[in-house]
Amino acid sequence: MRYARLLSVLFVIVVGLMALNGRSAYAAFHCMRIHAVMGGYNGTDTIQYVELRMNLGGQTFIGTHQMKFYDAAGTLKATFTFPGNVLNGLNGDSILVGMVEFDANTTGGNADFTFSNANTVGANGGDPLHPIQSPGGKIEFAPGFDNCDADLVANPGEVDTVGYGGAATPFGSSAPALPSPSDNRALRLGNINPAPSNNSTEYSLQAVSASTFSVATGSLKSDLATPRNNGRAVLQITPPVGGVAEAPDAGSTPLAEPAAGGSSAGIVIAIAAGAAAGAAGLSGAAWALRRRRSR
Amino acid sequence: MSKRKRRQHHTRSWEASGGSPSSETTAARQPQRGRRLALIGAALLAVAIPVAALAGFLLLAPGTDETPDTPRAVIVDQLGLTFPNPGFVQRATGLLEQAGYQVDYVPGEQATVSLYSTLASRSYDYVLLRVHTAQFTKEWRGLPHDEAVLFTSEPYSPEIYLYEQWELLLSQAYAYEGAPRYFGVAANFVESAMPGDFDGATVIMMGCGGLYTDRTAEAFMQRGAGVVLGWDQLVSANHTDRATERLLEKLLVDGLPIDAALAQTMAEVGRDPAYQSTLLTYPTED
Repeated sequence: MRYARLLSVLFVIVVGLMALNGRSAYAAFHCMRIHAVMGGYNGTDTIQYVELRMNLGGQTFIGTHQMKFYDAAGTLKATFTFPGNVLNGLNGDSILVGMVEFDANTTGGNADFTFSNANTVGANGGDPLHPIQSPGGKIEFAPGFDNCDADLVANPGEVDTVGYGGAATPFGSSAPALPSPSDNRALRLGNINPAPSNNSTEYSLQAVSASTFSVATGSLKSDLATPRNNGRAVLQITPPVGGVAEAPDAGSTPLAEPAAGGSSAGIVIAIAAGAAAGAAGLSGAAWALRRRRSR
Repeated sequence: MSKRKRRQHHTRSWEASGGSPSSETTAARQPQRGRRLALIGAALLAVAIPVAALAGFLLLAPGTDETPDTPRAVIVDQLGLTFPNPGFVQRATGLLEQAGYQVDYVPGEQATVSLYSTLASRSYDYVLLRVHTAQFTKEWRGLPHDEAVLFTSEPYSPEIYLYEQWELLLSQAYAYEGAPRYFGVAANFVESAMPGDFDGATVIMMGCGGLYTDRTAEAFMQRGAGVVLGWDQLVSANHTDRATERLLEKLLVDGLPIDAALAQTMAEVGRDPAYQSTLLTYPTED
């Protein structure tokens, strides 16, 4: 009897330790959502980024974990491996991964990590430097690991996955497609819930920030503005200062040269108008004089 | 009897009577005085109207070509509508003012077609065009065009500036698909709708591809510019601001000639990291 009681106590202790050990491992990288994805800005499809957001404090140990990029058909196109950890790890803190072009065209700071040949491997013809597929595709963060939902099971799609533009997703239905690069909006998560539920309802196209500013620690969970880096700076994207020039829509009929002030045509017309007025005055005077003489 | 015939009848009666003045002839002198006054008035009008027309034209003509004592510079900040950078404007203005220039700042909403038409008549030594630039690479009325077009902030309309559009002094331009459309100032406008003379001014086209081709730069040279600077490809707002500020430091603080200033600027800030564009001068030394 004594031994049975001892065994029961030991069993409870062991189970408790196991449970504690499982939870403590979540102060690493598990409690993370894919917060935003952008496929292009101001007509430039190379200005891309992915932003992750922590839904629990302590999620700074992302080094060696991966993001995988798939096309709309589910074909793997690129795998990005985080080269290191981040510094800030409060509930709501962000981790920003962008392209070289993204860093070159933002004010207020840079992404925390940049896609490069050193940390991204292309697959099936995918471009490692621009791995985000558009308009449809899928992004997985830390596939095969558990997230911070209620169970302790690494279900398909966890830690987090977002499928968009018709791509298959393990979480409900596909989110809206990434817009064309000239549409300056990102696909953004509308909450910071630990468990993904339905990509089609959790994500929507939202305008990126029109200015750069810092987010206070008390607002990290509630401020959804993107793109934000781990330094808590929301960045402003400033694309190339070019554009498109097109032919006029005005009709094809040749027009007379207008009397623009200061042009030589204007001088001629002004003098002609004055001469005409002068001639009219003289004619009137001559008429009156002739009438007087005829009486 | 008509009034005219009555007057004739009265006159002949007066002559028949020997022409002696009478109360009737006195009364007849008043209409004669009136006609004299009408003659004088008509003559005055004949002189006054053309003089007034000419005076009005001269008064309304934009600007003069007189050279002021204080050297002048202008920053046309059409880009400020979408990518404001007050820090750059402040620092660039400071550099120019410390070098003795009076700086005119044109905010984005005032970068109109009319404003562009005055640039050559205000005796600027530095013309900083912080504006979007787009390439017009199309045919118009059977002629090929390949030139940089400078954005204004004036919303495009096919119903105004008809002559200017027909002659491709103005085109339409937009930053990206779906963005608002504005009038764009083409090379023909620089050549023929900017009265005055740049008189050796340094013109800096800060937007994308200003020197992707030489056409627009050559137009500025035809209008008297001393040198034109521009990018050979796309450039970001950040990088063009950074490079222009550094260039002004080299020119105004270090006093370097334009080629040396540009070479050092590019060595220090480098090409645009995303688009690999380079800031060039026109004309180039060959």
